[in-house]
Amino acid sequence: MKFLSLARTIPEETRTTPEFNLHFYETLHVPFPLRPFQIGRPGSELAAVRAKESGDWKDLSGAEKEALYRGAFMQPITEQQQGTDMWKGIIGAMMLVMGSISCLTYELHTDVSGFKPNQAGFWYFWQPGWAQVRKNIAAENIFLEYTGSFNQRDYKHWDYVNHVWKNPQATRIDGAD
Amino acid sequence: MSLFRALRPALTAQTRRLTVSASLNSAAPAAPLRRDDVMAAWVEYFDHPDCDYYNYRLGAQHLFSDDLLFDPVVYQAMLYACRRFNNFPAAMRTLELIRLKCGDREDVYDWVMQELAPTLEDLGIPTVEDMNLHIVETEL
Repeated sequence: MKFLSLARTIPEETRTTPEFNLHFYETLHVPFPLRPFQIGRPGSELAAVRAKESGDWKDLSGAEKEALYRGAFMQPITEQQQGTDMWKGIIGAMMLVMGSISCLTYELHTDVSGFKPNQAGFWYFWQPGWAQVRKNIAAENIFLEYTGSFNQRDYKHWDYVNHVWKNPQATRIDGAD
Repeated sequence: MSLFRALRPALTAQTRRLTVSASLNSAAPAAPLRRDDVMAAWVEYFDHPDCDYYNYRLGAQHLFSDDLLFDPVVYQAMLYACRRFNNFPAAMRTLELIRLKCGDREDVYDWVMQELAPTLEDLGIPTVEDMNLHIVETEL
């Protein structure tokens, strides 16, 4: 079961035979490869069978026909159509990432933001005590009106009377969230 | 005719004949080939005495990349071409690709094999099921 295999692996006993052809390439898109899978060096059994191929094919035995086919192709079409188990590896990796992000988010929410279980959420944020949090967030708006030399005041889009953005959907230049 | 051509004055820059590309661009498009003409053309391609494994590959890749099952005459010509350049595995691969092309239509595959049965018997080629190329041992 190959969870993260990106290519078909050739077994070692096939790769290490002297008949193995490094220049062999076969896919469903290129079903007729130009070079055979096994070279058939002169004097080998495969060369003898290939010499017999020139004669009548009815004289070839079943084993010889099998040897000819296996010598020319690595995998039959049915084997090439097989899938891999890579989707299991992908979904597993995805779940690992999502789990780790969830752990990180929980740590941030509890230890950094101070949210407690059953004490956070859209309804809970309007309880007393959260008003100070909102005031702290609104206090950051002072940076938009502070006349420092480093401050880029967006006077065109900031409403200095109501201390809010004129168009809240407009992009802010200070980069805050 | 050649003497008449020599006596003709040389063409100047003003009077110029139409080039080949211009006449082709202005020509009307050719009529589409009929189905029987397509089959006959492919049979002629594979029956040609100069057809070797390279030409066979080229034609076969063209054929099997098309979403179409050709008449068994074409496949018959392909098998005889394999016999001519003495390549038995190519014939088996052709039969496998016919089986792939038929998809889940077993009746169509049976019919094509029925039409090709005399050819297979004449050349001594077993079918895909005879050589067990349709069975795959799953690896765990």
